Amino acid sequence: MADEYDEEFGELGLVIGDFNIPSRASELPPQFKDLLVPNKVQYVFCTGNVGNRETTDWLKTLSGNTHLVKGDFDESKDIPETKIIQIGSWKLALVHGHQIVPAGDNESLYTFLKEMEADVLITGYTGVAKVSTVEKKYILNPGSVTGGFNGQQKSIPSFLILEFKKEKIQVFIYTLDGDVKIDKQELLLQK
Amino acid sequence: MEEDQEKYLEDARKVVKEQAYFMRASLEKAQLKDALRYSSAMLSELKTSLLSPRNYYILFMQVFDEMRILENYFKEEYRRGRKMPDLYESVQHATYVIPRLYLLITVGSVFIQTHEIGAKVILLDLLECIKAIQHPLRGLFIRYYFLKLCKDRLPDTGSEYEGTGGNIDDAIEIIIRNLSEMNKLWIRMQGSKDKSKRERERLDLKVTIGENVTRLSNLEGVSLDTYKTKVLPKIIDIITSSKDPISQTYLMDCTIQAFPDEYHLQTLQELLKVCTTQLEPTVDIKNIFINLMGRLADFALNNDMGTFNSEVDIYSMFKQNIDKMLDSNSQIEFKNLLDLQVAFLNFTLRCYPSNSEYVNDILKSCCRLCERQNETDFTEECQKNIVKFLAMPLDTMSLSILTMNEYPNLMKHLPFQKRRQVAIKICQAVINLNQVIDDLKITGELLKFIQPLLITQNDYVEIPENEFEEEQQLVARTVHLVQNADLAIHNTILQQFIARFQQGEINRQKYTYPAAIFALFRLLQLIATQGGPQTQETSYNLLFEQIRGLIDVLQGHFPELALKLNLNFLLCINTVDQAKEFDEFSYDIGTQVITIFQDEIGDSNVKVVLLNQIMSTFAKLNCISGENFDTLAGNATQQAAKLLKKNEQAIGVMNAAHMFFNENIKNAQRVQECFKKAIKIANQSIGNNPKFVYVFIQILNKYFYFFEQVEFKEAEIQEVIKIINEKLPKALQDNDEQSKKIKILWTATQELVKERKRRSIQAYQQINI
Repeated sequence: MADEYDEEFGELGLVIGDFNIPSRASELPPQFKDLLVPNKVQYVFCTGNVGNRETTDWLKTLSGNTHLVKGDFDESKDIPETKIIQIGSWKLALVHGHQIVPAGDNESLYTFLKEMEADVLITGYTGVAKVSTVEKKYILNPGSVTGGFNGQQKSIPSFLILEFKKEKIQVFIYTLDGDVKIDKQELLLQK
Repeated sequence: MEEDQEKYLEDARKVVKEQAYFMRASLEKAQLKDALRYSSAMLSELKTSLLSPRNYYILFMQVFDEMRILENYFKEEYRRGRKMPDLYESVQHATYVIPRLYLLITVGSVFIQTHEIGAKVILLDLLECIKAIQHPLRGLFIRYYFLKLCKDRLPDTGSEYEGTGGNIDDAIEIIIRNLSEMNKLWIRMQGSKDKSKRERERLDLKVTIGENVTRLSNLEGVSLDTYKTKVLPKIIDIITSSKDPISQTYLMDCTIQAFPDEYHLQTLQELLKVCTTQLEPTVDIKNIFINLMGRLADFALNNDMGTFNSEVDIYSMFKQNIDKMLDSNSQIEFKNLLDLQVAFLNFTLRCYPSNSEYVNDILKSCCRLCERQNETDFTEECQKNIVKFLAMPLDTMSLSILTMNEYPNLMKHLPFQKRRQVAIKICQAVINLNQVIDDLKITGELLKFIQPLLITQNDYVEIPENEFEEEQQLVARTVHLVQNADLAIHNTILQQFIARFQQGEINRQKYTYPAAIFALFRLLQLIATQGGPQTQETSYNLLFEQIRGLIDVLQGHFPELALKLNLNFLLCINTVDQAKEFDEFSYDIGTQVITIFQDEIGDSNVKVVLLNQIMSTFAKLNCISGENFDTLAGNATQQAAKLLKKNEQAIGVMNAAHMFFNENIKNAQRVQECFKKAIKIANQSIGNNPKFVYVFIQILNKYFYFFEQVEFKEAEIQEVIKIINEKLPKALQDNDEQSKKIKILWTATQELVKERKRRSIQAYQQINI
């Protein structure tokens, strides 16, 4: 019965962040700008550090459900530090990640995830795209969509698309290293 | 007056309706003579002098519709055997000239269809007859009636009337004569005393004239050659001989509208010459030009650009004529000439997209034009046009546009607000096109043009804060477009930007410096990838010192920003300096971070988050030597112990452990010290507040983080667990938000231990939870 449902086309979510426009980048890569147009996804999850009002406004045009959290370079007082979003059977937690020590560390992030009682933690800050499984939970990092400075030798522009099914999330990892590359990974809901 | 008009029209329409009714009734009873009498009476209403042109038109249309019925009857009569010449003759018995002529035209149109006599014979005859009506309004309409009835009876090429009935030349001749006469009458129209009202009334009727031109363009026999040699010269003749600006403007427009663009392409020289030299001075030539350029640009883009370019040098033709207008002493207003230049530039950009020479030439003309003017001539409208002028090329051409020396000459005519607009448009164009800034000369010009954004110029005007932020962010974005494979040049270009930024004030540097700093980070990483600095200007020392200097400037006003930039600076050095060559320098930066944190960050909540970032960053560093790093990390730990709240202190000191145990360093002793200190602080507070047990649970989790790598005394951990178990019941008693948090974390912790025990991880076997 569950299989029958999973065959259907699920809702899509865009996971994106760490733009840092204009301090670290001038604009999204044109190859990404062409892909990211309104009404293609139902949700937008932004890990923070957008950097300016124009780009934030643009982000909000992409879907009717845009969720945004505060990055370490976001000055606005209106943005929350964390957010919880329920999509079907999936409980998502959203946080930029600069609040956690050490930054980008799966175990520390896992503790945070458990405290939020979430199934999936979406986080940024490191500027490196990553999909991790810790115990029965998942930690997703879209990296930096502009490929701005991230303290590493190289910074590759990236973002994620999530396809939500009842007990499954299909993750599409978009990276730009010369050409646009798409990797896939499947997350199964485990309680 | 207005109400009178309404009444006159009502009355006339009533009569027409009445007489038309009787006419139709007579026709049904086949009483032609009576019908003619009634139609005469009906047509007599068109003799009136009472109606305004527009109202006359309305009456005319009503009569026209009724005359259709009569026309059909005439056709039927012919089929029944009535001789046309007889009919032609009998309608001439009508007493008054207007009805007589209308009836004649109607019969004539049917007569032509019989083919008993050549079309041209009748048409020319009719034209002669209607000459009798010289009253402007009535004459106009009777010729309009003639056109409408006879337009499908012309001896056009391939039509049924060609041959004995005439040929294309005759068809053209007839319409041209009609047009010429109608034009003369139109010009002579008197109407009201008020000039502008009179002009409006004339314009109300312009379609009657226009239909002649349209009919000409619909003639099958009017090929390109015929148009060129026979039609156009005649139309031009009519236009130029009239000396009436309204007529000239309208007829030019009609001609351009009615005939295909291919024809205009081939006769462009002629058209332009007429426009520039033979029209009345009050005719708005610029609109005609703009109209033509618009159509030809559309045509060029929808068709083969090759033909467009090779057959006729459109650009030169327009250029010559426009320049002629510029240079002549005509009374064309400055504003209009500017409009024209802008339209011409737009046309050129559309049709010759990559031709920078053309753009430069137009620029030169525009400059020449502007030089001749007085300051006061540069109204708001004119300024807007100059802004458009400067910004348009950027959307399609590369930055090389900026090297055209006429560019700055145009800018100087603009006040600050407008120069700022041009600067903003330039930045936007550069960013939207993703232009790479890789040339020194172009950079120099670019920076010159965006000066209104970079420094406070003499005629500076205050800008609202949000607009200021937007413009500065544009400038910041531009920096990241700097790129050159030769890193020495890359650097020199960046330095040009930075030099300008240094001249701006702190309110600008808030935006421009961070961008410059991150651009320098990127440059440093590129230098490292290439194996290190190749020139003196790109030495690490020089660039590091420069970055430090820029951050120092920001520190005065924006300490928190400076702190975060320093953290990123450390990470940058970390990727570049594997050999710890700049150990002392990095240590200084780290110390600076602590100093700013200690002395300049007031908000305690901000401090907590910042300290986490500081510790996270330090934990990544591999560019600082052992002793220096130990001092630095120790300082950070001390800062943790000085945070405002006890729980923040405990957690902070606990987190400090990560600085001493990570990829780069494995100092177990320091870790143990951190935990001891954290527990000590926690113990100081748990007495008063059972909910403090939360901190203990967090610390316990951190123990488990290091559990398999650092040796802790079993008793130490069990002590923590004991305290937790003791205080837990009281902490969870009142079931509030905090209690819930405690419960969630505690459950998770227990699960974690259970799971690790299950995986038979040695260290956990002894843990009793």
